[in-house]
Amino acid sequence: MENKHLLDFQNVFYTYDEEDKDSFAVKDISFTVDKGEYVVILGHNGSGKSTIAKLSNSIFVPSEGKVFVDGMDTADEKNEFKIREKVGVVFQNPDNQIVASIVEEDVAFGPENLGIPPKTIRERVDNALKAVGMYDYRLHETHRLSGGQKQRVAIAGMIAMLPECIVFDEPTAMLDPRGRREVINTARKLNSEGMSIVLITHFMEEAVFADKVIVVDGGRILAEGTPREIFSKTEMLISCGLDVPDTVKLSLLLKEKGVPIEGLPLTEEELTEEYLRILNL
Amino acid sequence: MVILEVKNVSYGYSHGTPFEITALDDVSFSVEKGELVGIIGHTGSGKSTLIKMLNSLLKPESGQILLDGKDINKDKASIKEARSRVGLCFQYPEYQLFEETCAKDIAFGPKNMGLSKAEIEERVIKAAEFVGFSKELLNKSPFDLSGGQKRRCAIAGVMAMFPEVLILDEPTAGLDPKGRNELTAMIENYRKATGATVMIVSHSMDDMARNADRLLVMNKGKLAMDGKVQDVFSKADKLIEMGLSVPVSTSLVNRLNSKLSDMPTDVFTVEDAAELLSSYYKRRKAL
Repeated sequence: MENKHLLDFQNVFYTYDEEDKDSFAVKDISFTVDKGEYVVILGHNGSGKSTIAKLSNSIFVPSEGKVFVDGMDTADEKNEFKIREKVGVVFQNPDNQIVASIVEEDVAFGPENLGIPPKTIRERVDNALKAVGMYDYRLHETHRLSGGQKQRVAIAGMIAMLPECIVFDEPTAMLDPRGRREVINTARKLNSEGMSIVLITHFMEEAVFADKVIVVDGGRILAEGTPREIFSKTEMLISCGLDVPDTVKLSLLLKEKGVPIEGLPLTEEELTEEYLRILNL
Repeated sequence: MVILEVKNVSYGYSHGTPFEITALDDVSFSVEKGELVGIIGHTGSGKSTLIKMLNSLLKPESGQILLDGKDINKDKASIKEARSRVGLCFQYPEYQLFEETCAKDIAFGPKNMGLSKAEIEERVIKAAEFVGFSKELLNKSPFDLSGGQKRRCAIAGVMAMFPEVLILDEPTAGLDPKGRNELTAMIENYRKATGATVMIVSHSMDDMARNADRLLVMNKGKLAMDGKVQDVFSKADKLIEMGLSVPVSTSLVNRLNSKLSDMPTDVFTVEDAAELLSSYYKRRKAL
């Protein structure tokens, strides 16, 4: 039977301190990620976001509750390898995720561990590097790449495992604006080709393209909805240490000043179009 | 009054290898006392090399760095003087915490300056105030703090030396929006209270638009632009060419201008853009 939900968190609790049961990093979290869905998780530093990432492919198993990956229980040790093939995690610091000195060797590391024939590995590595736009760099040394390039190599390493979902844990926090664009565009491209994406971030503008946004605060889910629904709750976001994208801030200010903007434009393109529309242009 | 002057400074890495890079190429500028200067530039543009020059962690291959008109690399004494008067705070400074308690960690700089015990204590308390640290936090181990608190502890360690020029490399990187705003306010506290000059390296054009008086733009080792925030951001095309961006509001108004052509382009903050777009709308509707 095909499971509709690729990732299914059911009333998950997690504590780093088994002695102190009250100090849960994640409290009663339930949400799902469907095949092909693009989900963004927003939360301030220390809100429990990264714990969620590690719970999603059985790096951590829940203290209470269940996480299912394509119907498989992450707490069941015999599922561990299958789960890690299905769900890959890309972390924040690109330097901690590169294991080899040459780009293509790094990307081949995962599939090599799966015991796949060399010819298939070659194909998978080439395809993965093409998918992230790093094929021309396949023979380059990894330590000479920029941060954004290193992150894309880490993503290629994931893709070579042919996962169905990639969880990004603040993949752009350490990158410059160009690096951030490269990584986010790569995630969007993979999603448009059918990959499920979970993006954990506190850059509000990265949430604009999501199918679903989940706001986490104090280890709990505070809100869940489309980007438009979430960003219309400015006060809630600010009260939990977050913000809205500047374009949304501008749209809201204009409404306050009596400019009849309809709906809630989220991107520069949308706001430009709406502004020209109300000018009758 | 000029406090810091960079005169025709050049520097390169890996000389004599195929990886030779010119990191700084004939860079010159001067900084006034009390100014808040932003440094922007794409990764690899020479920003980090430049700030390491400013308290003699690196020495120019040619050119000079002058502090109050004196060459900071003249002799050992002048290097030592520069290191206590120009405070440098690297990216992710929380990785440099090492002491048993926050108070001891913050005291490390003043101690090395050879201050008396009473003076050191006073400075630790003052620096803790700048970053909003309570007494209780001061006695904790820095390794028991949250990421944001660690960052503030590390920055307090630099502030405790009361540098006349405080230089920070991406101080808000990795922080959430609230943490970013708080830290920016703390740096401003320090500047107001001490009259110090502050230089901030940042990738966030929106933060720069809000906070800096003046921007230095580095590109391929050269100082590509040096001017008021308005002047720099009005050259959006040039910035984008260098792999940089402009604040969201600037970019939006530029976008509208391609259709409307009669909008002023000196808009850098969300508040200014809202003001402009609402008055423009009302004017057009009144016609």
